[in-house]
Amino acid sequence: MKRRSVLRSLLAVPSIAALPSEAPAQDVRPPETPNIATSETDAASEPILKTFDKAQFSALRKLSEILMPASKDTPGALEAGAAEFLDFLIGVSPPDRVGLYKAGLDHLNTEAQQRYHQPFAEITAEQAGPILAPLHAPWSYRTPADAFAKFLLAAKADILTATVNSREYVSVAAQRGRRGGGVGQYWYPIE
Amino acid sequence: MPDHDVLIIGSGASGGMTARELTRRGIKCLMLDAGPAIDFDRDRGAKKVYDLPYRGFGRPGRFPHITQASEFNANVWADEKQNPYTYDPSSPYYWVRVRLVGGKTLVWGRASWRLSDFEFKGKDHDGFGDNWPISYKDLAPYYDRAEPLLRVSGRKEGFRQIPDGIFLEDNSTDSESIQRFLAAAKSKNVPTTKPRRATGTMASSVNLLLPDALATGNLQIVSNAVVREITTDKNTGLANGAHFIDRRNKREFHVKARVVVVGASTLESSRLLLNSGIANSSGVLGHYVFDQFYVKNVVTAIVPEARGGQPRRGLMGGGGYIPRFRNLDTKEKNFLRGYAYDFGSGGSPAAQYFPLYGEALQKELAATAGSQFSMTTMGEVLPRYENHVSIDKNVKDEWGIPALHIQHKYTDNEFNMGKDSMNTAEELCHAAGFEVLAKHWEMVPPGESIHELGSCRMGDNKKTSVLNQYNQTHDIRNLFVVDGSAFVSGGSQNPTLTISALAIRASEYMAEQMRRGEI
Repeated sequence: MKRRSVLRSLLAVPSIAALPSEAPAQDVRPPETPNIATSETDAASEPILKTFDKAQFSALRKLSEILMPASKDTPGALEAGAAEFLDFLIGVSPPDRVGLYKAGLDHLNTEAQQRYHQPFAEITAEQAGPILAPLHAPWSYRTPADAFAKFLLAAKADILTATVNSREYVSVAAQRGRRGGGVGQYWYPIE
Repeated sequence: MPDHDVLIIGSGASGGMTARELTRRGIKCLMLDAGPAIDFDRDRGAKKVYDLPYRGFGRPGRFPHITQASEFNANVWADEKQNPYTYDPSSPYYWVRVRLVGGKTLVWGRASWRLSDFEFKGKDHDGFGDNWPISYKDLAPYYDRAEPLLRVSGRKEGFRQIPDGIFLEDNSTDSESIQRFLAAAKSKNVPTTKPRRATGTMASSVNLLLPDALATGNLQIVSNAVVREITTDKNTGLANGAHFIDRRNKREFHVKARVVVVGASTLESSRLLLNSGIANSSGVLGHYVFDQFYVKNVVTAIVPEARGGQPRRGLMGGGGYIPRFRNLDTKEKNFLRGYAYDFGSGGSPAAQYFPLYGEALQKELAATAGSQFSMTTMGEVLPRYENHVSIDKNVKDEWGIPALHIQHKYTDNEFNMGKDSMNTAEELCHAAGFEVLAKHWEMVPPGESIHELGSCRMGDNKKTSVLNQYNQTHDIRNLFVVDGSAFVSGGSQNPTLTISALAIRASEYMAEQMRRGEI
């Protein structure tokens, strides 16, 4: 649990209402069994990070903020928890993808240290510009041979998708009448 | 257990059409399908993308070869671990399968084009490969019957390379951007037409073909039946049924029939024949595999007037088709045959095309929302003996059935065609006044178009083909193969309509042979 959540829970004063007295009686209910409303796991809890170390995750979080910042209309990658989600997604991906991400995030930190003597998470978006220069290369169908450029393109796509498909982004986009991810026809496992 | 007149293996376009044609004639059919039947009320439902376990990405690594799979539709596709296949790592093959009653007709793109004698008599035209044992006029009456069943819409044009058919006439108005593109194509002598596609909320074997067959009372469908082997009578050599395995509990069964029809999908049908050790006196079973190469989004362009994020009404939307126009009356220098395009107006360019990030990217995405014009190339792949499938005895599927090894490479003929298609598409977009945002000629790996064809081809010569012109095996007269494996060549036209027409023709012949007691 994060520090702010702990503080929130300690400071919260429970408000418990007294129940009205009930006379014993047979409970009368409709015969149908109701479908109980439930929430998805990430709707009421914080994820445990398992894939990246602290330095790597901080770099990923900063990268997500730079690549997909919030606008006045829509939440950005930070609000969407994109980095937290990618910590999970990359962690369950094939080993080459895990390696691509870890090496790419390490490279961000190395570059930031060499240029600014700070980790990537502490530099500004302007300072990050030269490091992220491969993202200004013209589009090509072929994946770049350079591993860092490959990582940046993968991260750009993943961070955008993780953001626009998030509950936070879709909810806002829906209010504004935009499609932004939204609802699709899902096929359940077919037996 | 009753014996059946005809055993049909597979329930998609070819199996479904065969069942419909035979049962209407009073022939008792048993159909086996490897997958379950869908309950459309129970098995589908609306979900929000953020409620999916992987936020729309899908489970990583689940479908390394199925680019069409999304987290929404992942459960439709055949599981690659249960259904393995192999290839040389230097020549990847993307084999896309659906194991459900109805097969790939549950998910097909519905494009419905006739082949012409540029395909049926391709060798006569340019000297490459082999002709089909039939000509267009042999199949035309069956196209006439297949199109109304599939409710194909389109517009009659009089093009030789895609003969007209029995269409629901498409008189829809073109958007301004499409009109501009059509005019540009006309100025370059490039033909265009409306899409020709099956219509309706669904256009599947399960709503158009199988219900008619079931209504006759002459069809029994067994789902979850994974066929392992077609069996033959030791004395006569004729097919007499099939061994199959219950998909769920692996219990084994045998079913008898007077005639066996295989429509399990192109490569699965050849796999079944190869595993059964039959119908291969020619030695060409499994050979001459081909498909149609796709260059997806060969050009992605922007319609300049649509910039700003809210294109005016009537400017964007719609699409069309450019049929093959190369090597009809002229001869190209560096490739045989030709290619077609799908084109469409509308939608938004993907973020990958913009060398930007952050606020600048978001501004550009907003400015170009709804302004996209894109084209996709679909090209003919030359059938070659060396492109083939065989049984990999070292790998077995979940049910212990030996898997397929697929060897398929594209050659310079396809690569040169792809490059030509990119240059032509760019030229057309420029002529229409569109801004070309991205272009490339890289085709998706073989198989990815889901138009795999050949491997059990038809022909007049028993030494160089597996089937005769009625999809009947040369070796075993009561064994038919009715799916795309029968193709001798495929052009650039989507194959399902031709598969359907061939299945009707084969069924008519089969029924007559049965009536005469010849099979």
